[in-house]
Amino acid sequence: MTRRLTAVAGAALMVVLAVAALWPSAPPPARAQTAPDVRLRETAAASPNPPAGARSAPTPITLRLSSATLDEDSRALPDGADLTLLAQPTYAALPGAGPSLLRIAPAITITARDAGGRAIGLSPAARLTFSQPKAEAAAVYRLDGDAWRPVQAATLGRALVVQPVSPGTYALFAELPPDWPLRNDLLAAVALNAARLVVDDLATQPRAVDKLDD
Amino acid sequence: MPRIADRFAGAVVGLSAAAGVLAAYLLTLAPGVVWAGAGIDSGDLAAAVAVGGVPHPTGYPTVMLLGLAVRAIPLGDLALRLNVLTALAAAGSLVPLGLLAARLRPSAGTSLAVPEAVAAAAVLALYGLAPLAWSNAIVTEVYAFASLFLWSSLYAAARARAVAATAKGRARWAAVAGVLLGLGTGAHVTVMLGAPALAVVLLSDGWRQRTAWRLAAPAAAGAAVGCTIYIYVPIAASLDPPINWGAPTTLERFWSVVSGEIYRSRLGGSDVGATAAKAAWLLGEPVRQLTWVLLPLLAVGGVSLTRRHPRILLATGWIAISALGVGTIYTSRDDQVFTLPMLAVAGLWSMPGVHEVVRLAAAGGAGVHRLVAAVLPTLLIASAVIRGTELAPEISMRDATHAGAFAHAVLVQAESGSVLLAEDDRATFPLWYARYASGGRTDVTILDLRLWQFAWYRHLLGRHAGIPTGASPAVLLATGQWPADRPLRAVDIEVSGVRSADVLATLRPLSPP
Repeated sequence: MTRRLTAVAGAALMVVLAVAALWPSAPPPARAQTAPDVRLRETAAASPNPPAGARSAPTPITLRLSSATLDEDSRALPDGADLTLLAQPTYAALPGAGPSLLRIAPAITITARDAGGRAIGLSPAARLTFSQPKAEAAAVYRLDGDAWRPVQAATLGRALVVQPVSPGTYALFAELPPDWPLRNDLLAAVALNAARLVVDDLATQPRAVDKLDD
Repeated sequence: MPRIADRFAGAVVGLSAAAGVLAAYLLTLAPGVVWAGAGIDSGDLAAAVAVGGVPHPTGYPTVMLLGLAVRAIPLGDLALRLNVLTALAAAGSLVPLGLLAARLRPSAGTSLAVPEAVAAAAVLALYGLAPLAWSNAIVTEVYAFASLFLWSSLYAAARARAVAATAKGRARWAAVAGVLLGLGTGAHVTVMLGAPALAVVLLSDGWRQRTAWRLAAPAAAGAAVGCTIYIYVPIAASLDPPINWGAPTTLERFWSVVSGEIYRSRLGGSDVGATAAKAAWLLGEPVRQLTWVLLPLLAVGGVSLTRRHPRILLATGWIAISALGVGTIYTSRDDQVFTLPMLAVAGLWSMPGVHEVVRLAAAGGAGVHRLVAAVLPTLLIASAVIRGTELAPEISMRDATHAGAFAHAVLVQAESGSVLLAEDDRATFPLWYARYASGGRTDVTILDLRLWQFAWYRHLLGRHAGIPTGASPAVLLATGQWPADRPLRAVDIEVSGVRSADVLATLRPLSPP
């Protein structure tokens, strides 16, 4: 009797574990991190960081427009030009450029408006520079409607420079080997390098691009 | 048929399985601190070891002290050394499981046929190669250490039971079991859930009988001694290291850290339906993780234990159920890892299953016995090899250099005296490690915005970095009170999808609005 009972219990255990193993869906992964994710109210209220979830309207990133370069270029701007240029990372869903191409930097949207808010053209000397990652076939693409189109970009050392550049949305894509292990962390360091983009040369006075490569 | 003497059977099974999985672990070992999967805390743990500090609660003093011993070996990157230590602990945890399983054989006390030993070792290797066990063995994490101490403790308790009642060694093994349990609690607090299991094994004479307490008393004393490892936490904290979670130098703050106060809100909270669904999913983990091949062996082993070793069945069953319970009610990024003891129990039960199947085959005649003795080890070894080969590319962390590269790149680019604001484990922990373990860029301060809410953290930064802590950096920046010689830079890691291409990291200068 005891033997029969234990045999039945063993069979039941097997059935229970088998049924559980076939359970149709895994629980959604929790997002809680090790450091408690509670933000200070004062930080949230006064932080210059974009608030969480505000991806639709990202804060324009501060580019290398502040320092001496800007002063120099500003002096070169024609009087009254009052140019406003925004280069902002775009985190909204964007179409891919191809099955083997991965976007490895935030897409950068460039707009140029005058003081009256009217769209204006950029100087032929305006450039958009992406630091080039160590990836195969890295190239800059421009969003044209719903599709990415490659744009002419000069390779200067480790940089890809688009010149002339016109307002629009740009991103850096690269071809990665098919066996590249797709884990969340793997490209972040590459993206870090790629995201060191520089939008400069708003001036009408062109400069030799080879001297500007960082 | 060659045989292994009974006294060596467990060691041979455990060590051969450990050697096999250790090779797999070392081939897939992370080269440093990592972001992915199980290793996200590796930067925090390694940075704490580097400075002799206190990592995130509960402080993990056993792991810290072992890490400090490894730190003293001047050979290669500290994070890599700690990863090797973790791999050794993970592989080492198979040894007490093998030793314990050998005592659970139907034919315990007699020599073990080599094919049976091979089959048992393959079962143990299948546990070691389970994705959950494997992924936690190749990065600096605490669970491998917890497993090593938990199963060593239970094995010692079983040894105490096996020694003649009059022998002195009995109390000694019981004390060792207690000490190991205490040390295990210092690796992860959930190891203390093994205490009832220990009690079941040690008090199997019946708790009312005085003889039973001759084992329980040394075990309890041993556990108390083992738990004194937690003295590391206030001692380390009192030295004011830069990684000093909770600054546990007072009794209140000590209790806050070792009890994981900041994580208590993660216990429970889900509705009944979601909790039940999660429990059902986790209950399927032994089969999913250890493969379907083991399911019949697990059931046969369970039946065998019911008849022959009901106390061990009860003790290990408790460990499995309590692990399932913790994994179910605790919600975190890595809550699945709490079911690791349940997987170990599944592996442990499957090993007597192997021996029981061979015994039953022997009863069926010499031909059947020979057939089973040949097929079973072949099948299990093939399963382990196939499993390992299949999973290795997916689990391998060999190429996971990006967290370290990220931290290095950020520190290289950071201006002199800059304060780097981070609010993501993936940013903070690798940056801590790069900042404190490498010894460079001592001018740079890493400031985690999520920890800023704690007074101990603000005070720590005030002392170590000399930055104003009267208000948040953002407020001070906005009101012009932030020191001009400490440029603020936000380290952003954006994750907009599950693909790696959607993970972006940027170093963003902040300036007054």
